[in-house]
Amino acid sequence: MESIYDNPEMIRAFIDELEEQLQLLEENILELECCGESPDVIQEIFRVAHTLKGSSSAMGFEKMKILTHEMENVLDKIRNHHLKATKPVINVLFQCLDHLRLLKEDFLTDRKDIKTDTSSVLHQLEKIMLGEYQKNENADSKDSEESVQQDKPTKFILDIEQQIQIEQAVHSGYNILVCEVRLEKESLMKSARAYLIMNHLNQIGTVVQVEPDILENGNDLLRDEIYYLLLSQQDGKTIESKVINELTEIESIRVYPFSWDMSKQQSLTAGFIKPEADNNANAKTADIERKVNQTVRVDVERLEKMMDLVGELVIERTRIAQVGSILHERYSSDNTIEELIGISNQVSRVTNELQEIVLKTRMLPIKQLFGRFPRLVRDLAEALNKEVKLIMEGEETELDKTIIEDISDPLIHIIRNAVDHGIESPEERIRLGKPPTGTLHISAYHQENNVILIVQDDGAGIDLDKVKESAVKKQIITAQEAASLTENEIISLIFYSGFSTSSTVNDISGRGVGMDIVKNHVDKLNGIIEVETKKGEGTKFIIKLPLTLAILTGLLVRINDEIYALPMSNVIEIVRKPVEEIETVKGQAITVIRDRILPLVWLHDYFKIPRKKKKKNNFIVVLGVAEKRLGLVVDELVGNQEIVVKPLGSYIGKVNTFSGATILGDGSVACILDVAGVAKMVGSIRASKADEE
Amino acid sequence: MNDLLESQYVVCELADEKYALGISDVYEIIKMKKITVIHNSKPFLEGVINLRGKIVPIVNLHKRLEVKNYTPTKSTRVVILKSRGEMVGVIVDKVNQVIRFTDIQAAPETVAGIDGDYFEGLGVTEEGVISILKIDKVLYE
Repeated sequence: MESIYDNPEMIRAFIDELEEQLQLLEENILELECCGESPDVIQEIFRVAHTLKGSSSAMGFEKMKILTHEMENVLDKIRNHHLKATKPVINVLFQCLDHLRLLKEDFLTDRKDIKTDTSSVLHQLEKIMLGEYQKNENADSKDSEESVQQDKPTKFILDIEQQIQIEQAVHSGYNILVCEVRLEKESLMKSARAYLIMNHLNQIGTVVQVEPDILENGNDLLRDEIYYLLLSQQDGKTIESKVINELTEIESIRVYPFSWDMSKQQSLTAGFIKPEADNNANAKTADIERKVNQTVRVDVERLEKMMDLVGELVIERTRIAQVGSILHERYSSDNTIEELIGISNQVSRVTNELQEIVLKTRMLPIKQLFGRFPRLVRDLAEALNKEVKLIMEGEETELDKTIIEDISDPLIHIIRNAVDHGIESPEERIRLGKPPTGTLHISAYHQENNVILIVQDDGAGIDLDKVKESAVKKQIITAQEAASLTENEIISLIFYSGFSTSSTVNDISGRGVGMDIVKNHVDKLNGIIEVETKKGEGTKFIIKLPLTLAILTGLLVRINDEIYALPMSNVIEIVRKPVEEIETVKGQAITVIRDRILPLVWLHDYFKIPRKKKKKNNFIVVLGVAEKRLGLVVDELVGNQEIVVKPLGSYIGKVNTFSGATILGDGSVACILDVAGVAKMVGSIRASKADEE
Repeated sequence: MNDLLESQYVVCELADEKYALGISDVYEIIKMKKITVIHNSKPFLEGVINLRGKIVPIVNLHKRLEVKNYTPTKSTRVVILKSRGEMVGVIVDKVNQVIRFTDIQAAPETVAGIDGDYFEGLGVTEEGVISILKIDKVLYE
């Protein structure tokens, strides 16, 4: 019989959950690091560890279970303020995260053979449990002890009655004490033991509250430490000795005064245990949270199929509308046709809405991707001894799932470059009169049907002379060519493969493989890259991407008698140029648009179809692909419309100039020009021509 | 050859010659419609058509079999074949009938100047011999 562990659906669900939880874990550890300890964050991390423990043990994933279990122990200590989340502790938590990731990878490759060795990180966790880090930290941070004390009261959530009870007790001269009892690990029936202690304490004074609440979840006490809030006239030391002497199976007891502050009560309790209904606002947010979390996991394939169907609907919608208007022209007096057009409009509206919703189901907030960057930047800065402040904006911007996946590598490359080559060391920055901490600004926003991603640093900027020099040395260009390059052209040199200005190769960058990967990925997504740089002030990468790859706005153009579609995201502008303004330089037709020289392309030549008779004015569609620009001369602009991208299929295979085909309103097929492919084809043919000469 | 005898064939004409296609490979037969050219692709690929929302490549069999090229007429048809899980259309001048052969002989090395590998065999009928096309070979190699 098939074991539950081999059920592919179970495994997929497990992996999905794992990914989500690990992301959450990372976010929260980072927050813990930058914003300090807060009950919310600790609770969240604890919850993640707990969830992972549960699911990994259900999957029979022993190593992960053990690791998460140990994490849970440490986090529990932090949660109960026995341990402060200091830098070394956070570093160990990061290590745990990395190991969990490795475990996940192992699990994906071969479940039977988990290679990752977790013993070192387990050992570290153990050390934390034994309090080794704590001692060191206490020695050099003087305020930590204080804050431990201050944070104590969060353990007890008191209702009004109990608060009054305590207040009265204070007035009558009672001591308010916290008895922290640690039971022996081997002790059986812990809740019964805890109950006994409570009874005993009740003889000494009055127990106001017990945490964890042994009365409520009686059989469920799994923890070794129990806290009693006690009102008593005796002092702490006496109680300590009494309990230790009169009761068995207690490892240790510590009694200390309960520092109690009315005003703190409300704010501090919020994250710990959900407050009762007395706090209305909190209850409401919890409600909203619950709503947000109501999701259903859907197989991506199903979404894809849905997208296909909607795509077909979009095509038919356009056709119905077209047929409708033809009929209307033909039989303008017929009422039935009026009705048909009404129906057609309604169908259009519904289809539009449906399309939008289906598109949205495939969209994910870019937060998914951005979430990885704080860690990346932190690690990079640490490794390079730099100080970098990361500012992220527009994390909620939504983007097609596949695009998010494909853009992640390029963005990581750009960020690495920015931290490694862009931002200077703190000393250097001070010398230059800049603040020692560099700023890396990553933002995303929507602009029409595109998403704009910007990565901007305030570092050294790209040294154009050095780029030129390096390009000549690497024989990408000749010295002669170098002299006549414009600023933009120099910048575009960094996208050549093998190009690097860095004289040293390190782990992070400098191998010269980064930027051409960036370019290729952005090309593939029909995107555009622009680079703005100023020496000494920083560099800005602007990436423009289409919202989705399945349905796009296309510009339909006519080349001779054939109609072609161009992805709108590649179209920069459309200009009309009289024949006189088109010049030829070394056999290449060019024109100048706003001081920028633009090579012109007649696809007629490449497709071996005749060019139309010379007209007075030529329509030129300015296309951009990654950092390249070229002008496509077309015979007619047909219009723009939503087009559904359909693959040409494996029989035809890859055709360089086309990324697919689409079906037009009249039912005919139009090819979608792959602008990157066109640029490449033009380049290669030009190169072979040059060789012949 | 026995299983070849059991199956049915669609007989069609290309440049006045008769060819047969195994009926199990034929998905449907449609009238000629507008074909969109894919430039710089395979040499005998005529283009693509829209078959109810699907992009289907169309192969020019005349070019492939090196017979006189077709001119679209009223009887020109596109036979949509299903091969290797994909639909591919071929243009024929005319579709005649569906038949079963009583006798099929192995194809000689060349059939009317065409490589014999393109054919499953030669089907013998009362009206003459019909070459049975090996679809996989014709479309892919």
